[in-house]
Amino acid sequence: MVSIYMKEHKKDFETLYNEFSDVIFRHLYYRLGERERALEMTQDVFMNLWGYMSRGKKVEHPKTFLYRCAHNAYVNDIRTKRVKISLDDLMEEGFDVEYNEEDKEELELQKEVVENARRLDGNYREVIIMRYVDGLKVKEIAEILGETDNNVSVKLNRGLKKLKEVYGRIKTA
Amino acid sequence: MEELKPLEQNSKSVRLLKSEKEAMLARIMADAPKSVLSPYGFLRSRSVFLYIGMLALIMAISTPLTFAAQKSIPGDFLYGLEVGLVETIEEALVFGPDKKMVYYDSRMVERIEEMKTVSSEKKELLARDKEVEKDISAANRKFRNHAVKSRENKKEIAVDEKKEINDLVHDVALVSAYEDVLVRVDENIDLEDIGDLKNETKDELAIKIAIYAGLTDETALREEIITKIELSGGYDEGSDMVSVNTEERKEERAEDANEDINDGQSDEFSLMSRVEPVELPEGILGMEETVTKEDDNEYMRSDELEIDGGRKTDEIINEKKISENSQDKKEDKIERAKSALEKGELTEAYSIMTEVEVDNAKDDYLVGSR
Repeated sequence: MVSIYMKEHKKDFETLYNEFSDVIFRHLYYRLGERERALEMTQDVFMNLWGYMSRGKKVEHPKTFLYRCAHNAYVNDIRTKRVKISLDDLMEEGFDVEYNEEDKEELELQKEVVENARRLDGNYREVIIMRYVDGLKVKEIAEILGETDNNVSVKLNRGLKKLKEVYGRIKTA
Repeated sequence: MEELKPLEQNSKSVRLLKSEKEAMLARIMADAPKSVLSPYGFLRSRSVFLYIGMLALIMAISTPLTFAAQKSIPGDFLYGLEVGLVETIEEALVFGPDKKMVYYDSRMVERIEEMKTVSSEKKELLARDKEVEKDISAANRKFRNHAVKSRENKKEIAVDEKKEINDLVHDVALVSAYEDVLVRVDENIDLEDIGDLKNETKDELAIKIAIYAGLTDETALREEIITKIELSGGYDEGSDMVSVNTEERKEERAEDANEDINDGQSDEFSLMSRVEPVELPEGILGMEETVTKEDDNEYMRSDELEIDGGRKTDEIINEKKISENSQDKKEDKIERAKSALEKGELTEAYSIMTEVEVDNAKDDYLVGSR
């Protein structure tokens, strides 16, 4: 009986993993600006989810749950000011992924996209990424960040103004 | 918006590589617990004893002894059992932040009610001074503890600034009411801890108000302040910005006091009022409220009043005086809020009206008997 119960959980977990692993990774990569750290943190977020589900708890709103875990992991990371990790460190820890030439090109392209977006002011980057990269609604962002809708809207407006300035500078450069 | 196009279009290209995705899943599964908790797990081994133990504790709470303990007050033989054991067990059996919040608030109200009873039975209880003192210290610790936990749970379930402000209004009111009744029990009581708690909660409220006022649209905030003033009776029905005629109201109340005393209705006054005219707790944003000599002059005719039993005239007049002073203070605050509103100082007006709400909530906790 227990094994059937576990199988169901594993299936549910895999469904959520396939649906959200890319978006959570993208969110963290944009916010951290470090691919390796984003990979490690994405893994932590899904470990949390699995730990939660394996205790028999039901996740009512998986999207909010995962984004909130990701946000908390990011905040903890900033607070503890962890040492930067490299791909080699990650592989030593057991994350043994081999990259071919095609992969390396894609990774370079991704890096460029993220670096461009990270020119945004740090104060507003968070909400702009959540709204325009992750496609979250203002209400969802407010819930994840534990702020009011109004506060998020104000940050978005100010962030967009900053974005215009950054964009203007890139165009004229 | 043109600036957002590259951000939106390119974002989809940022993703996990297929190999990374598979490796990550394999790693999570390898590190994951080997089994999940069965929904029928409670039937196994030690869990059964735990559930039986909990059941026994629930039954223990419902015995007559614990029932008596729940009704005890500081100084009673069973009071230690109430705050030490019964409430600790009750607390452990409350789950979920919303239920916990309600539980902690109810315990705080219970502490206020207990102190009201202690203050009314002061003479008898003071004979057992040490017991009372010990129990009051325990009650204070419990009150502080419940206030902190209630706040934590309220934060957890708060959905917006407004709800946080409303919750904080009640928290400040509860702590202020508790402080008031403690003074009534013993004027020399050490209020440092409760005073600190009140100040911390008030500071938190002031910050929330500033944030809320800063984020709210000016017209909406103005309307909200006007509604608060209206609800507090600051504007007469059917007319805008009509100022309150404070003098007339004072006279009316003085007449009411005379009638009430002669009708023998004094007993229904709250215990809150049975105090010497001491200094009242400071207002929410740091304003001192004191009963002044000038206020006393309005009640000189109290010497002419007499009722049964001899108490009582001065005492009842005192009750009335405190209550009316409190009413006057509220009216003053409403006038100040109106004036700030007219000057366009919306945050100030909002803060003052929140003070009035705290005062009203505090009065609600202080009125009524055990």
